[in-house]
Amino acid sequence: MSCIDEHSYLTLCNLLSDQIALSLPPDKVYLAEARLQNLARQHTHGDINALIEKASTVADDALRTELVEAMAINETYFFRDPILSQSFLDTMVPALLEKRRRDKTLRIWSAACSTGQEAYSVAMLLDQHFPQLKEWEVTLIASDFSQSALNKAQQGCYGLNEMNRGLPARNMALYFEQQGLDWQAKPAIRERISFQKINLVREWPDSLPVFDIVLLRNVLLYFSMEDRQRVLARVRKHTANDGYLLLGSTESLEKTAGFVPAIPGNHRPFYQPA
Amino acid sequence: MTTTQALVIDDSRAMRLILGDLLQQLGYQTSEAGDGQQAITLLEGDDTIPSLALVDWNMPVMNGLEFIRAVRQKPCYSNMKLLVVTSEAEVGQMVEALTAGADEYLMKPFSSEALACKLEMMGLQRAQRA
Repeated sequence: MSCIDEHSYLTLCNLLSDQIALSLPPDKVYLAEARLQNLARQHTHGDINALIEKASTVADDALRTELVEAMAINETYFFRDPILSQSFLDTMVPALLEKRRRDKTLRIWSAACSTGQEAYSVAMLLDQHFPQLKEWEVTLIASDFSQSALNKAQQGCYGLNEMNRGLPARNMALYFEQQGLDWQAKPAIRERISFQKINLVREWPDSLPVFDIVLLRNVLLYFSMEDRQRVLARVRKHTANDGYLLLGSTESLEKTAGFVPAIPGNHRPFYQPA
Repeated sequence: MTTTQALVIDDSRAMRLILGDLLQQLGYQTSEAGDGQQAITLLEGDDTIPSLALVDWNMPVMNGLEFIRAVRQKPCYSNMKLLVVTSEAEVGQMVEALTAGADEYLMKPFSSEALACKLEMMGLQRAQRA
């Protein structure tokens, strides 16, 4: 395996920061080497330094995209962290059912959905626990910067290991069907989610509405402080004043972020606009 | 008395060793049986009821489904969580196991993380080491 030299690693860090605001620490050279190996074999005879150079200098968007996607962190699984179910079942949806009872609309955004498990978890939670929402106009948007992750999310097709991680067997039987060795979400659940390509640190679509619930989980921790503040300010504009923001279970926000804990005294990871 | 003991029921000795090792890493004390009938004999001969049983599907003498049905008929085992660990990945079998009283279903092959994840879903926290 070729080793990444200092100059190339710096170039890679700058590229990732520019493209997806991923702040790669100096001690992750080994990670970059492991993740870029295959791509280097395909494009630059195994030379990772040449791959980074090519992706950063040549007007080859496709290669740049491939490199960035190879470095992206796509870790996700169904019903990740108990706070997801707890906050939906105990607080957010019951409160919103009351607050939105006149216009009967509910808008939810899974803002860095990766391969989609979070969005499907939400769709299953709503279906199982809030049957009254069948009469409502429920919008569930799942977005990610990575087209390959989105393609997988949209297909809703998962392998055994992904199915084994976090998905209750009852949900597997109810909402998925076998496709050879894989399992695919049934159309009835897939059709409830609208998948969109959105890079959080680039332009957002004008059509993106204001949401009642924004899930921005395990994303901000990879951003620099500056990018984090910038993204949060935009998320605030797309969160209803009485809406909610849910982060990853180990994440928390600074007081200046424009959000306050949804449950007073409990400083993470569940917030409302200040 | 319920403890952080786990019973591994599988006709494959290798699988019993692997599962036992994984559970011990999660802090469980383990015992093992080669089929459902052996497991019932083991349970009846011990005052301590395991908090968890990992149950294979295809086994001689008494298979996993028959074991689940048998223990779910006895109120003394109602707190014992039953996780089916099997290479049977048919929806019909999954539903059959859940209907019979299994709490969860884990398909082989699986990662240690997937096992830990299932236990957490079943309300079983990582057991404390003595």
